[in-house]
Amino acid sequence: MNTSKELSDLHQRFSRRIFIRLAARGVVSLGAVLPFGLNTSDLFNNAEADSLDDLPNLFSADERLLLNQVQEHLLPSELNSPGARDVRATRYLEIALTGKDIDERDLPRIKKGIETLRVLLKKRGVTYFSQLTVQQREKLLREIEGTGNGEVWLRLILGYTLEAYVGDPSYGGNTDGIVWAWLGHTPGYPRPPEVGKENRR
Amino acid sequence: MTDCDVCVIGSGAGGGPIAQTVSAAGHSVIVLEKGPWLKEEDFFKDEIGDCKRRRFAPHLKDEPHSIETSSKDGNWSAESTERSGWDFWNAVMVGGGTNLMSGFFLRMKPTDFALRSTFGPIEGADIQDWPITYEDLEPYYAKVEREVGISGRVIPYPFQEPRSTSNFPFPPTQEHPLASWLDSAGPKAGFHPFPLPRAILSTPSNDRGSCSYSGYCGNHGCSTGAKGSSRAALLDRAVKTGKCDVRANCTAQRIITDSRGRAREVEYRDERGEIKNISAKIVVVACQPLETTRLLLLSSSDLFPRGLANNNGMVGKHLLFSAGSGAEGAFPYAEFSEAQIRDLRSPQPFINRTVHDWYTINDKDFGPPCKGGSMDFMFVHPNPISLARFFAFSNDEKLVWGSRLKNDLKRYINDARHVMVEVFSDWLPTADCNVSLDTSIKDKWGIPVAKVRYKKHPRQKEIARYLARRAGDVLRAIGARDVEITGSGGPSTNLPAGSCRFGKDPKTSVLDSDCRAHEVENLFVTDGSFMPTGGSVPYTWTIYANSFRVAEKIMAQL
Repeated sequence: MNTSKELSDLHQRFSRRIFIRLAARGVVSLGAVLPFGLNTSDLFNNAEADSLDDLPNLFSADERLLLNQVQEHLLPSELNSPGARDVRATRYLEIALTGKDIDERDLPRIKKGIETLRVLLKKRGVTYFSQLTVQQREKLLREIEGTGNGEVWLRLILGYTLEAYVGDPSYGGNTDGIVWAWLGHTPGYPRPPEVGKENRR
Repeated sequence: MTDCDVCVIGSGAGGGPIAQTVSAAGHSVIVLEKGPWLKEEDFFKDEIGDCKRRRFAPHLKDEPHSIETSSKDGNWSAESTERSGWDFWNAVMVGGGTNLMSGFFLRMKPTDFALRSTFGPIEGADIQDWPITYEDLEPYYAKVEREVGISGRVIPYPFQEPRSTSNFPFPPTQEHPLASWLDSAGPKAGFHPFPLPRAILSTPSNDRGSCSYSGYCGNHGCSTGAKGSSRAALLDRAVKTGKCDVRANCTAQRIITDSRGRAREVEYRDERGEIKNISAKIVVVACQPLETTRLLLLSSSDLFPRGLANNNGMVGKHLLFSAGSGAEGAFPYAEFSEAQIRDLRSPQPFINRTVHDWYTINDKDFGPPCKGGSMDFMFVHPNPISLARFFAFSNDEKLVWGSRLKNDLKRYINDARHVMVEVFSDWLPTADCNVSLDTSIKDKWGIPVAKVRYKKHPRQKEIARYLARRAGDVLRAIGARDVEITGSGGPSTNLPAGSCRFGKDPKTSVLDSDCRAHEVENLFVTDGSFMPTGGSVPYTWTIYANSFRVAEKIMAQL
């Protein structure tokens, strides 16, 4: 079931460009999610190596950490491919949510979802998502997906994470075009100016 | 004494030709455009800004529409587009949707002007012939080729509509080698591909550059001016005459009539939110069917209690969208020769081929001859966020994430070229597809929004499905693998038409054959609203051509 936001996406910009999906290929490979040989605690303790000074502080440090952990599960950094952490997806999300074109319901929805996640983690006897095994993380997110609000929350997080992943680096994600290089994607030109240096409407 | 000779509301394909033609002839024109005036330097290949944010459209929280659909038990219910997921705004800026189009330009064919006479009525559909013929519009199709700038190449072709000129004024844009695959396969497989005309300059002209082939074309503004937008091709020239004043960020709210029922003034809200008025000898409404209808219905008066030009109750009826279907196929590199792989990997973005063999369906197994449609060939849009979102969100059962999502995306981009066929067919006008005012949902200024009631005629779904199967056959004929087809989806929100159709009978149409309101002698409507049927091609060339035609009628009336 598509959320309104996703329906809007499909209808708004590709309303006549019918896009048929090829048969799904590949399987979820959860065994390979750890990036570059790091162990789980290394990964999440190193969350967002960038300076946080320039962030708009929409989230507390704790919320940011949980978001980072979830995003890294959704798009894991792997040996041969970049993941959410490599494109600074949490930082991107926080900056994106300050944009004037953003649905103002997104931030409270995301925050509410984090609170729910906290409760669910507490029930499992842990504080952080990263304290679960990879399989437990997957199971928990699938449980969340099975609830109406949970699915909306995951769609939001995944949607913004994908923007950070394959969007133009000028918006603050896809660091140095690392994902484009990995995918072999050629962007269109002229590329947009860096956020903050443009005169967008 | 009026503020101007002609006030044009809306600056897209319906408004631009009026402004350019009338101002070039020395008449004064004021164009009111709701959106900003963006120029070449403001356009980037910016997927986030252009496609994932609302850079070119109002926020639905502030300015929604409402959508009314029926459940299986026949009950109708409406909801705001803020919540429904539908979005009927396209490109709100000077030049409108023509800034973002792909510029696939095809003329309607002579049968499109006489659909009812040619194929007969269809039960449950209110199909009417146009009050003009193809021959009436042909000189203006030719004029658009010159004035807007259409590139292409005329070849001997069995379904070629009559032309008054031998060829296009601009040579075709560069083509991907896959075009020659289609050309080779066609005669053997029984179809006839021909070069798809594009409203994209292949060589510089006037102050406009030619195409830079720099990717990300459809849904993005053009930074070279090659795309034949109403802004780049017409309004910039209109302004240079010194007789045309384009007022951006100005939204028309009401058309005020005099005691004789003539349009006297246009009331609008400027960018500071102040209410102002313009008086004009002639008012032209061209702000896309939903907003055109809304404006007319909001402009009620003692003489027009049901809305301007709506004493016959026809304003908002017979809303159309562009019907169609599609097919997609893959060309996996692993299954082709080295030479073929070199072809497939060519970076040229345009295939530029179209097939019209099923514009009329003559297939006994499908029934008597009937109107079919056209099919255009293109690569799947390369925009990576949209691709990634598709893989993440389009699984029927659950969201896709993790390694699978990454691998799906990488394989899709790396292992094959993906070609899609976009099929255009007729949307059948019915009583259950129309526009009205929603008095319960208002915009941020407290003004009722346009409500779209939408239901598809079952026959158009059958035809779309038939054409999709043929499109799949064509793809297979050129070697595509994993071909999948899809039938008609919902209304194409970026291509509405109808709602103020023209016709000879003042009881059953809003406009006369000159697109002048039957009930208001100095009011014209020139966006796609005038169309009683939409043909089986993209509308834009026809809207441009008709607007050039009506411009001459307007000048004759000044």
